Amino acid sequence: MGWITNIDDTNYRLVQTRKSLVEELVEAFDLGETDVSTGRLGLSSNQASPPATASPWNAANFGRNASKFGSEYFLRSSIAAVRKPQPVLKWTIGGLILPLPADVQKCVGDGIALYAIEEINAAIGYTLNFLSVLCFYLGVKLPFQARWSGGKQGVGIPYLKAGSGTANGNWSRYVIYANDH
Amino acid sequence: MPCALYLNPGLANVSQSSTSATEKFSIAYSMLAYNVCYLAYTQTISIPLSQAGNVLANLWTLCSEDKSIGHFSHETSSSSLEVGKQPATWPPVTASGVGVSHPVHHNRVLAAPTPAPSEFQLDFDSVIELLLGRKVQPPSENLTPGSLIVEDEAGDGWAVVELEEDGF
Repeated sequence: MGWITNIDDTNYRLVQTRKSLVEELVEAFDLGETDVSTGRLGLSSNQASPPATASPWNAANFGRNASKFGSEYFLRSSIAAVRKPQPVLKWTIGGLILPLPADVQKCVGDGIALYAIEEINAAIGYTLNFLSVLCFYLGVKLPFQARWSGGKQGVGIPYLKAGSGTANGNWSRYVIYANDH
Repeated sequence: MPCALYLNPGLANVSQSSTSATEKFSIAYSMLAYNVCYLAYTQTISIPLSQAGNVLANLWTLCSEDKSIGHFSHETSSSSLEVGKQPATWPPVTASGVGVSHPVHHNRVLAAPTPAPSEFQLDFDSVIELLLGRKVQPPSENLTPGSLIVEDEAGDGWAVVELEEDGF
């Protein structure tokens, strides 16, 4: 039964390889929670604040390392309490927030800035690319498939529609859903 | 035409009280959120409906689950929910030798048995309702294959057109 051992060994190495690849992917896309208390990112707190107000050395640009090596380690607690703004952790990819549709709806109703729209679209692009690579690594086909208007991954406007096949969950009917954005 | 997951720059600085401007974005976002929930399901992670909209958090969760990530890439049967139940012989033996080779191209995966979506119980209509705040009428099921629904020029109602061979 040596071939079973070989299969198990091969499978174990494949799993370890996939884990490493996924780990690298998360790192490359900088997926994680980021302190957005500076208001720099996307729809965080103040839609009207232009990106020019952001310092290149703010916490958002440090990413999640900021909390590790930031003021809390170098300032006395009493001073830190005064100077350090309350951290606002948001999930980000590539430093950008992917807002919920309800938040987008609210911002559009209030009048959304062009740079905020571009940041949202960029976050969507990152997320779709991340998902695409992740599915390739894991060998999983998703219910909804993405197609880009530019003909290549990441080029143009991304469109989603249900893939072929039948399924529970009522998603497969959206294979013919239409949209004119 | 599928749903565009894209915000039109024309929305900038134009105050719109109508929900129609972002409705289709919300539906496309629901598709993305549903994809992530499904992917998590294939890695034996169950995401409740209430959390389905948190796309990035869900992605991070499934990528960080060290015990399950990557284990079920080629295990494509519906039993993948049972993380503790690992088959003695991992994949079926193929003509080429031992097991199923790692996919060189994504299309190779499609040729293999696909994950059983019939076991995935999350309801897409519920995800849309959660993210959009109301129900959306899905396209009619009476259309024959090869047809495509598009909105007519007036923007109200549906029209059926022939779908091209190459899909989309």
